[in-house]
Amino acid sequence: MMSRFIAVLSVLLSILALGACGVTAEPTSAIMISDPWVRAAVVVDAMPEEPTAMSMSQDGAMADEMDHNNAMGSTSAAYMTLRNTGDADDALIGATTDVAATVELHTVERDGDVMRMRPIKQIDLPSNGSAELKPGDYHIMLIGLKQDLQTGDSVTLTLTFQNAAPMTISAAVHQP
Amino acid sequence: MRIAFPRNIALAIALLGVGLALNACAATEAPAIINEEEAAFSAGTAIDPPRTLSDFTLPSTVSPTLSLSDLRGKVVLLYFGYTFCPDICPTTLAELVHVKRMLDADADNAAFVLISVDPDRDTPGVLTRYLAAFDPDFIGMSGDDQTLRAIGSDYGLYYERRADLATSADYLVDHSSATYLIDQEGQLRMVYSYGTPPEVIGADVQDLLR
Ligand SMILES: [Cu+2]
Repeated sequence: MMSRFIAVLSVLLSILALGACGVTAEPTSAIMISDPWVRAAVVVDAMPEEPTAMSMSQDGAMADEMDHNNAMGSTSAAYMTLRNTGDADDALIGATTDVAATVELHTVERDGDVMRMRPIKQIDLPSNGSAELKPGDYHIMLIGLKQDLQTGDSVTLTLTFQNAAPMTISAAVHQP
Repeated sequence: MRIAFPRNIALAIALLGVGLALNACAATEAPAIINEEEAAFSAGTAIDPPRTLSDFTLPSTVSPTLSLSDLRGKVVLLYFGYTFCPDICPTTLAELVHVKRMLDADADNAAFVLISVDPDRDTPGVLTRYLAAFDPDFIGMSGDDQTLRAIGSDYGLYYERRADLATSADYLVDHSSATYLIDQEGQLRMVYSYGTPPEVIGADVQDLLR
């Protein structure tokens, strides 16, 4: 009898304690995203059907013809702060957007003055922890831009997580 | 069916439950920040005495070929990078835009140069389009391996093409991320690490222009 009372007390106290700090019992997505932004970038590998008048008129026109064989894509990156307000660990495991052919999660390893950008499988979001995606650090890399990204534009990104439901967000485009 | 816990275990569970809940509270109020590591605020490293740099000539965005010696008389800020780099390189170039703005009219006496360590992607045409998004006055040069190897020791330059990484990109390039300040006589005066505030670099350029 006593043990049952204590077990009930435990649950009640837990609810009270949780209530006190404003954590809702409803398990919606535990991920909160703040200050998302995407770096302004231009498509530099012009497609063959749209000749680049600017570069053709220059002496560099010869070298420029190589561009068309090397359409390897232009890049940009998305940054934001991700906060896991839940009490279970989670991780950002991927992202998609309409403005780029491929999206990858990357980090930058600094080795003295040498910077090594590396693809990573996930960005950990420990319970009640956060991860900051910022220049020179974690970023969501956009590879193969389909359009110029100008300051003032916005980019829609869908983020996928290990546990939380996917989230679609809008990120403003600007220079750092 | 009844589950009868021994009293002490039930009490422990009760306390644990409260503890966890309170713990969640505290952490929510003061969220843990990961990646505290910030670029160290640096004043740059002075090269004393100034180092005479080997001249070199490369395909460029301003003329079919450009030599470092063609920029004599100007203060030069030089950076090695590549256009496919979405993070470190554009961040540095955006900071150099700030430096140029700081210089105002004096900017005519300064040159901002990106030497690509990825000439396969970065032809002068690609560099022109890429740099125009920062400042159309910025100069791009397509560095070839032979030239980069010849001048690399002047700058402590490191770069390595990596085609072995788990990325959809054909390859990435690991590279030095410093910015170099070269005076009007073509001598290396300062080296700035990634993250050096533009105000620091701008003040040094103004000193040389005085
Ligand atoms: Cu990246």
